[in-house]
Amino acid sequence: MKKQPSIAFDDAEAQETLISRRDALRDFSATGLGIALAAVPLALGLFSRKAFAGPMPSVTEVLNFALTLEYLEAEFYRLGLEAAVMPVGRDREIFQLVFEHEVAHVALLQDALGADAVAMPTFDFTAGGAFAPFEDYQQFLILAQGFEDTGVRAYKGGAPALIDAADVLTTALQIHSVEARHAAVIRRLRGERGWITGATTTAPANTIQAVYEGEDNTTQGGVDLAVALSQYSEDRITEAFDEPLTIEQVNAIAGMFIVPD
Amino acid sequence: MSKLIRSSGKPRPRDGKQPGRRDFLKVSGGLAGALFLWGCSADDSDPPPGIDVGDVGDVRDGDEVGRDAGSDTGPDTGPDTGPDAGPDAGPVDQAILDFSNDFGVLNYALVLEQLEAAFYALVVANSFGSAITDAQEQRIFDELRIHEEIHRDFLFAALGENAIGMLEFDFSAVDFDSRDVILTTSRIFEDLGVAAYNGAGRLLKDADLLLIAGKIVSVEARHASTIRDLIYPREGFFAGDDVVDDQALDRAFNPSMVLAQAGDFVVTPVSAINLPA
Repeated sequence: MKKQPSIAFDDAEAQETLISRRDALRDFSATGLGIALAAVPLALGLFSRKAFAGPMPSVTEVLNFALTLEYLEAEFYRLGLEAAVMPVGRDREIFQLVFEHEVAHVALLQDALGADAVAMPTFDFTAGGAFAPFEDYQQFLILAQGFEDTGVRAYKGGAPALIDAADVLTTALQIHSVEARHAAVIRRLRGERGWITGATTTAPANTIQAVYEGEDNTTQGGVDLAVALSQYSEDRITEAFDEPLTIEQVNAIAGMFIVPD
Repeated sequence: MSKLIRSSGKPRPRDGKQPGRRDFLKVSGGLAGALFLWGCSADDSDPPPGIDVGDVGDVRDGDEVGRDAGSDTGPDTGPDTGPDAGPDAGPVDQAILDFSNDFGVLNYALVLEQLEAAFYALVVANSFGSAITDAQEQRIFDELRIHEEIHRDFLFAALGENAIGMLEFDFSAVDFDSRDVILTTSRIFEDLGVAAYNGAGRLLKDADLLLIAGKIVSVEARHASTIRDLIYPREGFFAGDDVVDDQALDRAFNPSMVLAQAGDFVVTPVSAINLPA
């Protein structure tokens, strides 16, 4: 049995706004991941470079994209700690460390980008009134999980664009796995598995479903593992591989919490 | 609470049965382009602990924990109908990792996935009645086993005839009746896997494979976080400062460092050639 934290959406209009934003996200996912795996046996694909259907984003674009996400996470945790929305003890210790990590990631990316670094946007973590994460701890947890799982998918999606910048790639991977550590422990705070089963959010509808679009993929390297490795359940197969998001998908998710200039 | 655990220090196994932790720094330098070899050199002056080449027959010795390595055990898997050259085949005499191309990098990953899958199979087969009795922890270990088997079988399928074969492992140094030992060994393997994939990303020439490696490494990191949280659910141990530095970066190891550590448990001679600088 899954624990279903209850979130009350008092403001029907705000909820409506959120849903329509989510519909916008669906359009992105309908166009596919943008990162197309070759539909040929993996071994035949060696030494090609076709991870991106379109042109690869530049290193600067990828790093600024990452920086925006790190700003969002750092600011979210800063405000959550300030509001003391989480219980003291284990929960607060976890979020204190996660916050410190995100601040360090911001500093590292700002340093790497220098004058090219984007400024921190203005955030609205209520997403127009749909959420109250600094008053309701369950909502805080759900958004934290959504942000961390998004972060994992975002760095993963960005990594192939860094393939010719080995040191930057390694650093990005070193951040990526830290985000995955965060995601797992926050999921566990919610009483969930540390890994993602299918495309299930584990959260109430109309909250963070966009974060998990495509996580139910079972095809890796052109091979449908649900067929090729049918001795394993599809749940386990999808858990064993985290999936990427495109920059556009991530920007759409993060954009729900960014106040336009 | 277990004395293995310190969040601010480096968690060190104290039990003499713990897997040895090699001083990996000592083998990390000067190996560029050279043949890096372990386990099959009679005059190796510094054999990794846990591998005794002259004595391979000894370590099995009716030891139950060694018997099931590499096979599918436990619930949730039916008969293995996987690839022919894959996990069902018997162990090979030796394996060569040629890092001059992406096959070598994937085979390197396959060594680690085989290691993890074999280890968790033994945990599931041997420890649920003794060391791991909590139902939720049993579920976690069973899922870890299956995830690693899927990674292993996927890599076998992806590599096809380029895959190294099934390796033989020796976990006789692991006390499968001790929850602390099992958790600590799991932590070492998962953290090592994360560091290995993080360090190997730059070696891949193919962007598709880089993406796939990325899909796997974050799952290893989820495992590591979960295991560490079971060991000590306080003070940020899930991402402790023994694995995440003050820039909030996880570890990234080169293959020499990883193979030296993993070599503690690998019986089959594995040699690595054309290692990156």
